Amino acid sequence: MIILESISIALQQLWANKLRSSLTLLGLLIGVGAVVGIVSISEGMRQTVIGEFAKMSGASQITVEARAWIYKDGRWVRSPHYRPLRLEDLDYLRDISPQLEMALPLLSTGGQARYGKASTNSPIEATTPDYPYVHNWKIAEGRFFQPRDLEQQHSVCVLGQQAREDLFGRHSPLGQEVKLNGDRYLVIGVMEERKVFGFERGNQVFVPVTTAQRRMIGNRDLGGATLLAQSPDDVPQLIPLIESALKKRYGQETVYEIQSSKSFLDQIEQSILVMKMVTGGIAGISLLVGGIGIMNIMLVSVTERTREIGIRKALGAKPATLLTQFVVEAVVLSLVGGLIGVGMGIGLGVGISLFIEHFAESPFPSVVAPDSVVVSLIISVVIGLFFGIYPAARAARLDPVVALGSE
Amino acid sequence: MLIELTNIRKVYVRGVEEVHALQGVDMGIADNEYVAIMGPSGSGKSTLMNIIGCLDTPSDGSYYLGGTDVSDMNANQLATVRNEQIGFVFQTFNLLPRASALHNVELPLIYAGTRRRVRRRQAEEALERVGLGDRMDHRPAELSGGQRQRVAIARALVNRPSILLADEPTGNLDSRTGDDIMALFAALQEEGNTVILITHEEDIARRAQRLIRIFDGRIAADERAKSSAGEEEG
Repeated sequence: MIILESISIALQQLWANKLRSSLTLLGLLIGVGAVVGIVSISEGMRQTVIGEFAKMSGASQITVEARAWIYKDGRWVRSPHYRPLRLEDLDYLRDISPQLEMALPLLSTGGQARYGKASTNSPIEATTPDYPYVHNWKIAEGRFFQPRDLEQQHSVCVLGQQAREDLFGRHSPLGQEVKLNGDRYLVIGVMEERKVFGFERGNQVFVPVTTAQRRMIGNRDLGGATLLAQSPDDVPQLIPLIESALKKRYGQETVYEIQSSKSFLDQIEQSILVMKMVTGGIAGISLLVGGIGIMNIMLVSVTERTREIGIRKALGAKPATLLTQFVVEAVVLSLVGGLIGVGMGIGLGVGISLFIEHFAESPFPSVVAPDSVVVSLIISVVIGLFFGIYPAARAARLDPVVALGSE
Repeated sequence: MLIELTNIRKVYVRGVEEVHALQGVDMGIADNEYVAIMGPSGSGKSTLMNIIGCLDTPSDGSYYLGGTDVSDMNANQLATVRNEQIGFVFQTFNLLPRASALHNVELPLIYAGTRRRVRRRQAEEALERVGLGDRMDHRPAELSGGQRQRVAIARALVNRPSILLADEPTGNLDSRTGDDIMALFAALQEEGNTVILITHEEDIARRAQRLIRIFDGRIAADERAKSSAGEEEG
C-alpha cells in the first residue's frame, strides 16, 4: 500500500518537474543506452560471423595434417615418424566416430589457368565428389565430379565463379578446355557464387584428386584431410578421439595437427567480449554520474518537501515508511531513466546497423540481447536504491516539529 | 484522566543559550473535555502542544496518555500514538497541495494500514460529517480557507482519535468562517470528542469549557467557564 502510494507520488513528482527530471536522467539514459546499443551491435556481429561459418559448415569441420617438422634439441628437424595421410586413410578417419559424416582430402597446389589469351593464377584444389556437400557449396552450371572421374583419373575440372569470369567473361565455359600448368582439362562445371563477409571467394579451380596426384604432384601423399562432424557441438569431443585413433593406427610417435575453426570462433567471441567490457566500463562511469544526479535531485526534493514530510509525520508516518517512500521515488526515477535508455539503445543499435549496411553493403544486423536489457534495468534499480538511500534517510530522520515549522 | 502531565519540563539549547520553554507543568484533562490553552507568544504553549501531540518529548517529567507513559517513547512508537490517538488541526491547514480532499483525509488511514475500500468509506464519511461531501475530488487550491480547514478537521477525525488538537485553527480565517469552525468544534465535543485548542485569542479561548493560561513556561491559571462549571470532573 505504502509502495503503491509512493510510486504514484514519484510519478507525479517526475511529471511536475519535467525539465529537472529529464536533465537528472540524462546520465543514466546515456549509460543504459550505450550498453544496450553496443551489446546489440556486438551480438549482431557475433551472429553474423557464426552464421557465415554455418553457411560453409565451417564450424563442423576438423582438419587433420601430418606434421613433418618437429622441434628437437633447439632446432627444427624433420620428424623420423612423419607419415602423411593418403587417400586410403580417409575411410578409416571417417569411421572413427559415428558423429563424423565425411572425410575429404586436403590437397592443393598453385598454378596458372589459361583459356585462349585469358589467364589467371588460381589455387588448384584436388578433391572428391563430396566437396560440395562438405563445404555446403552448390554447383551452378554443369556437374561436379563423379566417382568415375576419380577412378579413371579424368582430366576434368570445375571452376569457381571468379575463375570462370576471369577466363571466360560472359561466355559459358562448359565443354571448353582450359590449360592448367600447360595440361589440358575439360571444364564440366561451375560453382555458385560464394561471398564470405561480403568478399568473393571463388577463384579456385577444382580437379579430381587422383588426376592431380598423377599429373601435377607426382606422389600419393595428401596435405591432410578435412572431416565433417554432424554438428559443431560434437567437434570438441571428436578432436581427442581422432588423435588417439591416429596414434593407434600409425604409432605413438607420429604427430598430427588436428584443428577446428572453433578456436577462430573463440577468438572472435573473445574480442566481442572485450568490446562489451570496454563499453561496460564507459557506461559504468555514465551510470555513476547518473546516480549522483539522482541523489542530488532527491536531496533537493527532500529539502523542498520538508513541510510535506512534517505533515506526514504528524499524521503517523513512521521513519521507515518515509524512508520507503523516498527510496521508491528514487528507484522509480532511475527505472524510468533505464527504460528510456533501453529504448534509445535499441534505436542506436538499429541506427548503426542500418548505417553500416548502407555503406558496407553487407548484412550487419543489430540483435537486442534480452540479458543486456534485463541487466541494464536491474542496474538502474540498484542505482536508484543506492543513491536514494541517503536522501531518504534524511527525510526519515527529520524532526517533525522542525519539519512542520519550515516554510 | 485521558491526559496526565506531571512536572513537565522542556529545555532547548539554542546556540549556547539554554531555553527553558516549560518549567514544571502539571495538568490533567479528562475524556470529552473542551479545553483551551492560551498564552502569549513565547509563553511555551506551542511547546506544550507539541508534547501533548507527541510530536516532541519532554526533557523531564511524565506524560500519561490514556494510561500509557509516552514521555520516553522512540520515534516509531510516537508515530503510532500520533496516528491512533491524536488528530491535528493546524493554523495553516497543512494539507498536501497536490492531493484531493479525499486523499488528504485518507492519509492517516494509509499509515494505519487500513484496507483501501474501508479507508475510502471512512474518509468519505468524515468529509460528509464536516459538510464537504460534494467537494471530495477538489484539491486544496480549489477550496476556500474555511473549506480547507474543514478538510483538515475531517482528516483529524478520520482515525477516531482520543484528542482533537487544534493549533490556532481560526488564525488564517475571517471571523465569520472562524465562527463556523468553532461551532464545528463545539458540535464535535458534544458528540463525545475531546478537544484541545491552542490560541492566543481571548474570545476564541472563551468558547471552551475550560481555559488554561500559560505564562513563562508555567500554568498561570486554570479556569472553568461558568455555564458549564461542575459538569465535568469526576
